[in-house]
Amino acid sequence: MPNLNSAIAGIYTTESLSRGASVIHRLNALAKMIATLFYIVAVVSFPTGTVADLLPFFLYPAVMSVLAGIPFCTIFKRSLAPLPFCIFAGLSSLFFERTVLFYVCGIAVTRGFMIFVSIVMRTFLCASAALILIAVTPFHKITQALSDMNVPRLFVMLFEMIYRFIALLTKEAISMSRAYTLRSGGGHIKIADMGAFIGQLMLRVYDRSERVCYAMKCRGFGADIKKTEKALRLCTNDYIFIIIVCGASILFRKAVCSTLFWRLL
Amino acid sequence: MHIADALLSSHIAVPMCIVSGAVLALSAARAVKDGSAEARLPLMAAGGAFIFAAQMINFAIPGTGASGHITGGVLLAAMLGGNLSVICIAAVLAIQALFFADGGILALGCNIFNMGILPCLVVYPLFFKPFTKNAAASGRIFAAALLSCILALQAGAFAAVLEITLSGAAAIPFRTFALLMQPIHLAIGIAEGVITGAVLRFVYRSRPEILDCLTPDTQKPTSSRGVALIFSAAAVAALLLSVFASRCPDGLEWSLEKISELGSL
Repeated sequence: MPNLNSAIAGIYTTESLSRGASVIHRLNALAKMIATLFYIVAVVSFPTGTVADLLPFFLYPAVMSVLAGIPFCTIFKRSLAPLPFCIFAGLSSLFFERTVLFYVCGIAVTRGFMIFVSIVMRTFLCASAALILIAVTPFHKITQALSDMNVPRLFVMLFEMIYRFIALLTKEAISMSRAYTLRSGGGHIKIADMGAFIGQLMLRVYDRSERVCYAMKCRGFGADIKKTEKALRLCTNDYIFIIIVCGASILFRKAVCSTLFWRLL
Repeated sequence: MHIADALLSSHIAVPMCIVSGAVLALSAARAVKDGSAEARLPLMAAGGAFIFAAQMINFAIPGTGASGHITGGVLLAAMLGGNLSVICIAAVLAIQALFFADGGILALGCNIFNMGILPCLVVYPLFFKPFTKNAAASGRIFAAALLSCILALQAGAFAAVLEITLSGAAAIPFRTFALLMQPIHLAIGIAEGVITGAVLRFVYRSRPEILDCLTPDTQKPTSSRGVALIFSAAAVAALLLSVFASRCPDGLEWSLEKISELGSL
């Protein structure tokens, strides 16, 4: 339960950051999604083991955090979440790729080590890009942008409802867990009771969600309603943002900056 | 089993996004057309939130030092049917990718395929539903859940190994990677099967009317199940065959090489 509670708090904390009024917050959600996707594709398109050419890409999370007023340590901490599996994949490269590439202070740097570092860097860059997108874009704008991209309405609706129902489920789970603890003398839920506990939780959440859906239907909500919100239009600032992010991604991808840097040296 | 962006290359991630997107669009269209979406919306939202919460909770796998979490595909499919459950899983994975960086945005296609399409549209209609269709009993449901979860997790893990190996992001050999992933996901599959079976058995005894696995299959053979099978088979075949893709030039390239050789002479 503490894991679930803190995870839920994490979602809504990130959503609270999206209510800012910076120049980044005011951009169109579609523009931010396109730029984020382009950036991620540019990062993952590098060959295996690339390290130096990935360094300019750190500018994006740094600049976006500063412009949007988001605490960088928040983004950094949340970006560490996908690292464990990536570290496992990267560490295995240390064992399987032992070709020595160069020496640093007498220490051999192998290709496996470069692959490991590259994977960690890419993980951080991609995760931070996704988190920044959520931190600067309100949730309803994201769903509106998905609708504008002709994503099936059923999926968008379900996306919204699941997002909101997570809080509902957490409350039910905490309530049931407290009730079980009080009746069982303070112990953890036994394995033999797990099936009934989870099944009961499922049914209670289902009953509550049914009541919520009936209430929504009474207010005119339906699965077949067509999109009624006006489509989000891209303005000049949005196009400038897309051009800057995509253009910089292409430049960095072509390693123009690192080539210039090494030539200057 | 959530794959991060850093472990995939764009030539694997993008086609998988297209395949998964097409299957989702087909499933959504089918669900809206036959009216099941509107009727089961509360259960979809509740089930999605439930699976989201369940995926947050990691349990230790004894003797391995690893931990795992249930994916919930089979559980959702047993309650909602294949089409609706795959849309639910996709929405849950999208929320996890955006808010927790758990699985990348570009890797959504692969994650939806491994944890959504394979359990809900392949394992469920081919194994679970036929097993429980003719003689539903709580013991039979439990056995079907256990078998289906094991198969789904094995298939999903194998697909993940294929996708990461073909991307070339990590240097770990395919055989070693598979030998590491499959046994761990066998243990996770058994645990998930036990939990899923226990929950479904409870729901069967309390509210059997909400289980899809007990309703007769009224769909024609050329249903989305068949189309999803074709898509899945095509995607897997494309991934497998790309391993054996010949590096030799094709007819056109060979001709051009010969022409350029003659030109240089």
